[in-house]
Amino acid sequence: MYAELRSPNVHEPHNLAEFTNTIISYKDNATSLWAGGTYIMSQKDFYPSKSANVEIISLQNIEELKHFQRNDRFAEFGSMVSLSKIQSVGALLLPKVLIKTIDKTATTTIRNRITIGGCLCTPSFRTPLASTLMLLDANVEVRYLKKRMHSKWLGISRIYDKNGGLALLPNALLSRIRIPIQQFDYQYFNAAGSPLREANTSVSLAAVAKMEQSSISTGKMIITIPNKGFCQSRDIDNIFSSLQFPCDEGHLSSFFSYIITYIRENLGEIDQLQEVRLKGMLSEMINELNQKSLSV
Amino acid sequence: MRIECNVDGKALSLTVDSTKPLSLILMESLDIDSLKTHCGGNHCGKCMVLLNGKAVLSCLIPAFLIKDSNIITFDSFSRSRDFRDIERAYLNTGITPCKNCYASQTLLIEDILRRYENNEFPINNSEILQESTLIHCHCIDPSSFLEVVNAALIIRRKRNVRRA
Repeated sequence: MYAELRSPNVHEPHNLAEFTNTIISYKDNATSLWAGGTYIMSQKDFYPSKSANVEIISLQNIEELKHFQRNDRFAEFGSMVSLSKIQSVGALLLPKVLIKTIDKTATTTIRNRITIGGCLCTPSFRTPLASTLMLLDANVEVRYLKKRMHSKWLGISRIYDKNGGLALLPNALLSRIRIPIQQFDYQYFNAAGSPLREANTSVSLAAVAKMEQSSISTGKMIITIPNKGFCQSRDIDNIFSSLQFPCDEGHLSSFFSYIITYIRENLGEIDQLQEVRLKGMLSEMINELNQKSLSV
Repeated sequence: MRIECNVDGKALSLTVDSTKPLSLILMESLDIDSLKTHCGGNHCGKCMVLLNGKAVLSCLIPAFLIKDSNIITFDSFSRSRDFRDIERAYLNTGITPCKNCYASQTLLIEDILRRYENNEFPINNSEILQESTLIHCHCIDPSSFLEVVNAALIIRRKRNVRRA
């Protein structure tokens, strides 16, 4: 009896129209959108909840959010598609850097529960998946309430503020993610530590490049520091693109020093373990590029 | 919140807080012996159950998501024929998990077997090695876990052939 009275209300809309009605009905109450729930359930103070009058809107049954479609230019996923599903349907289609990011996100058992939308909307830390999607210039469709429900497509970086915090309006719903299908000569992803459990020491690096013999014609890289933000800069990309391979230790050290200085100036001090891990990843990536340039 | 579900073959109607984790429901409301700890979503991996045939960490499943679902805990799984295959694999390889994680390791192996038993694909070693890190216990190292999975898969496929 007690549990029933105190328990938060759970709404389970079956389509986007029902979702809109629910959002409009409860726009003045505290609402919480529920995707896979892995992040929410991992919060220390989640249960027993201190605020009982929360309206939970579960997105599990909304069919429109589970769709997947593709054409020659892009692949489009509903936000409730699980990471396992994306990995299985997109293994031959999506860029390898994305598949590797999903692979490193969690084990298969956990990936079955994590949804792409939920993974992009974690409020307290930044996920490597978001940064890889930024690197690939992915777009997201956001539905938000303003008298009535509106929707618009945004570049994925626009749903985050300059510190990497989630900048979506309250009750906004991320409904679809569109990933361009592109070809790269070189793709790299590596992550150390779990962003969920060890946000203070975890770090990841993703990079893509188009190459011409021993140099990079177009190169982009992004560093995710889960407790601080995303580090992506045109200056870093330009230095990365201007590297000549094989690249020696001196060039690598000055490149790394530039990145660390940039992170300190823009995101603040990072943990020493994050710094060491980042240096290891950068060195691994440059070694791979050196090998690639020598084998051409 | 009133929830109808099926736990270990018994149809139940529960009145619980809608956000109560499944692990706590099983431990407190249903007195399931195989679940002993609640890590509060800390991913310790020791609260594994089969939810609609798939392994999940029960501390990450809220009550409202188990509506109309079928939950198998180690208590009932240990009485099934499928468990015998994994038990035989433990005996054949001489690798047995400790009593703290025995239930979770076994259910995780069962989930992996269900992914592979009906097809002839070779086992994806890196996937299995990654899965072995899900349960935070030092009693089995990843390579031993892989050995047990391979042994159990051979036993399961042989049994399936005999049954066919």
